[in-house]
Amino acid sequence: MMKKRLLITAIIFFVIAANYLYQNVDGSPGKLPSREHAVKVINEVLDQADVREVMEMIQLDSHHAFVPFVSMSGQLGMSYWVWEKFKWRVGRVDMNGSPHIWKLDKRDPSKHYFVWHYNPEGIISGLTYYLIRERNARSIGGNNFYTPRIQMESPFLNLEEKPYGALPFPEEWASIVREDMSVNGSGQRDVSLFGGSKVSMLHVGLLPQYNEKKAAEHFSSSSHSYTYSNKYLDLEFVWILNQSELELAE
Amino acid sequence: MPVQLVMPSGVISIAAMLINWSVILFFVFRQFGRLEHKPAIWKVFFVTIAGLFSFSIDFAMFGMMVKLSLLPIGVWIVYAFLKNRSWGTYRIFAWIGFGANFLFLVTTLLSGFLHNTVYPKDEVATYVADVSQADIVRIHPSAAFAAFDKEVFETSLQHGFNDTILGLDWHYESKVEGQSMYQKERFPYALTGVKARWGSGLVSSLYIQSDGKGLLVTNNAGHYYYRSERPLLVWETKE
Repeated sequence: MMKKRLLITAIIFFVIAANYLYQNVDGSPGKLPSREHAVKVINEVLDQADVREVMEMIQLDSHHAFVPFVSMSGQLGMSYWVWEKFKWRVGRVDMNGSPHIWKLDKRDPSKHYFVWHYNPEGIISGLTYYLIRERNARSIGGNNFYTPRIQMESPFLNLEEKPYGALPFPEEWASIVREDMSVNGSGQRDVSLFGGSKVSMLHVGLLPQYNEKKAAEHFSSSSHSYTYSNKYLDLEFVWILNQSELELAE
Repeated sequence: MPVQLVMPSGVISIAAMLINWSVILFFVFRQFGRLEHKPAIWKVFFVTIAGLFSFSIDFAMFGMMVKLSLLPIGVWIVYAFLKNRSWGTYRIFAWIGFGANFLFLVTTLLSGFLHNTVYPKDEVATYVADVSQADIVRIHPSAAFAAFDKEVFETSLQHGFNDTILGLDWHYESKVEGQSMYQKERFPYALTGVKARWGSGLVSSLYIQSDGKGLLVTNNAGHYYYRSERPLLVWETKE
């Protein structure tokens, strides 16, 4: 009787341990695959990708890599690679290279990367990313509140020189986002018991520098784009800002 | 000025929780000891916790939201399950559970007062206790390049006074064309890495005024503004 109990317990323990290992062991990351291999894999998962050329294999950290590519028809695409279970795997392929933020670790802003492969018909020659929080003032029941405006900019990125890239949040940005997280949580809506809601009001946008020759043309950012995705990746779209939304008194 | 309390955090809330559960356990064990025929102890705990459930209303007292229990729903549910069986044995424990709600209410209020006394919300020392890891970050393009010097900061912080937050005025000045601070931010420096007084559990965002003579503390409980006579930051002077 005792032996049977012991055996059952051992089997249950073994199953739990095996499951845990399976879920969590990835092995130490190996070298990135070659460009040829990346082309093959991308074409396999997304027919429409029709890759002509992989621009670069950009490794972001030990387990993540960003691989922008161009299709035969000239479409600019992005692919996101993750090291998992002893292999580099493509988690997502987008035929649309509009700037996004890829959060490699939701809670660590120094691992939040801008990724883009963007050259909309030569209309935009460059861009700058902004970290913004609107100024706010309230007066409630005799108590006054004031929240200063945050407007921080990234270095200017020249898209004509290089239309793709992966840029981590600047250290100063990461510092501000971290402080904001510790007061407001990491981006989800937290309603505290006392009626006040802890919501982070920080968001990111980009200000394009329009190519003067083509500035008159209406710029439409829509394009039917194909996507392959088999993993949940923490991606956030970066909105295009208007000059008037920024305080840039010269 | 009416007393404004905040839900205690940090060591005071931990202490309050310990006191709450100690009192509950005391009563539970005392009643348990008096029983002649003792049921399994876990059943007793289960009933006590069930007794906690109640219909209650939330209302604000001294600026804190507190819960006042009105109907002992949990007690009634336990009664419904046990009425033909062992209700007599478990009855007292269900009521202890319900009574615990009032204990929580009193403790919450008392600890709120205690927190406000030990960590006064209108004193800069509560919010700025440890600046060894502090630094500034320019959060607006209108901020001149400045440096954080621990000694200068701590010295300047000694001489100052609390001031009113004229939030709506400040907002207007920055927003409207022609105003003094148009397109500029009044508090363009974020002060990072500052620790509040030990045990207070306070987490705030701090900002320094463009002239260096103001410190704004913001957190979910309230905002606080301190003016110093001398600048808190150091600017390079260009000759």
